[in-house]
Amino acid sequence: MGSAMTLQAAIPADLEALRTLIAEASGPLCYVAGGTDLLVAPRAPPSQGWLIDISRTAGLAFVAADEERLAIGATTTIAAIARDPTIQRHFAALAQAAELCGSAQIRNRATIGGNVAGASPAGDLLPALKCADARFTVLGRDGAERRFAFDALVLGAGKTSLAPGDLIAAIEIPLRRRLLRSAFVKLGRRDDLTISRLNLTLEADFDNETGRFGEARLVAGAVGPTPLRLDAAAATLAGGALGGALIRAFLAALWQAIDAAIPGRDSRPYKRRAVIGLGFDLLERITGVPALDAIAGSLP
Amino acid sequence: MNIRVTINGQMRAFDVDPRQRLSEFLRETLDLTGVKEGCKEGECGACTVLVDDKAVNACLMLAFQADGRRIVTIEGLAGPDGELSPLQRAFIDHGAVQCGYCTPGMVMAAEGLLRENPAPSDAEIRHALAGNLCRCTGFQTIVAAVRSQAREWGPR
Repeated sequence: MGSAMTLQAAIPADLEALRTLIAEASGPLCYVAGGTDLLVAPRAPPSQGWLIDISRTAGLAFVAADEERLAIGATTTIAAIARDPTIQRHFAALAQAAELCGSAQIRNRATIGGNVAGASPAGDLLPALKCADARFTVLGRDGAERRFAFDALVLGAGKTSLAPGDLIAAIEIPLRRRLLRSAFVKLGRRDDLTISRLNLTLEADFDNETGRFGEARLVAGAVGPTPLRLDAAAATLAGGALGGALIRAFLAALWQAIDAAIPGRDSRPYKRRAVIGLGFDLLERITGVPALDAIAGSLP
Repeated sequence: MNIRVTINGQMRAFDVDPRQRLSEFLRETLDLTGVKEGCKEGECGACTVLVDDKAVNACLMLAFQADGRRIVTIEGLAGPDGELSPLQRAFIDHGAVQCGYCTPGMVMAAEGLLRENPAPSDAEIRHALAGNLCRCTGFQTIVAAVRSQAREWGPR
């Protein structure tokens, strides 16, 4: 079907039509959903093969949750993720990251699958997905589905293990081990439509009655080619009581982790200081306790 | 590729190049030059149009992806006799227009916001317009114009 020398476009209505198309199409396949990465210069749509618009393919945009997992279709838009009550309830950090991603216009078109496939070091949803041990279902050109853990799919800056013609179809987030609370904070050059200079995702159990943390998991974005787990900083929270000593230990661990993550980078002196403010924002957001700087005492 | 698309209320059929951007299609094929191509990378918002009632950057969408969709450009906001919409009128009344280059995109982004959230707060207005850059008149008057059309502030 089709000549490999020209570019043809298709808009499969559903997954069955998509599977039929990829089985019969000749030449390279290029998927486009929001187009917010594909159409930004110097990238350009291909000049031969098939350009396949999956933005309205039924079965690729959905949010569903059961007791074990939260499943999100790859073409679910960033705007839909930001306001989805199921995601807000089960994984607030992802909804918060979505709300801070791009502009309203971009959020209305861009998709979670595209954010993952782009594998930008500053990709806003990636740290949250890594923190949550997200898994990905990929539809191959041969029609077979394969599953990837986060680190097996996102390999480096703009680098994934997707083969030509592969399509991320769905993202799955395990819920049974999900911590009760999560939060995302981001620092950019302005508040909106800004590329992350630094961002943090924290998942933790926190009891407002006792003021104690349970387990905690922490990931930083935009401090390396892929999101970085900050286990030592998370450990300063785990089991601890919210107070000056805990806050100071947490912020010191954040400072050390960012300092160690980007040796030799011009941004290092800036980011290791900036992470202190971001750390305050993160703790205030996840605990709901305001003005933590007042109880932190003098900082390290 | 053959597409059918409703543009400013009128359903029409076209044969489009799969690589053509929606912004270029609207400007060059349909002469809807209220759609501005400022940056072609989603930074300036001057190309903002509504696609199925949602504000999008026409420069970051391919024309063929508009198949089966409803598109409204700034030219589609005014009434059939050319009477400006209340939102357009508010931009003039609040002095929110100077050189005018950003204005169509700014109005369409605000239109998208008000269709989704008829009573936005100032913070919500600023968040929704963050993808639109104005280089001359400043944002205060633009926010004031949009606020005047928010339901709790006055009649639409």
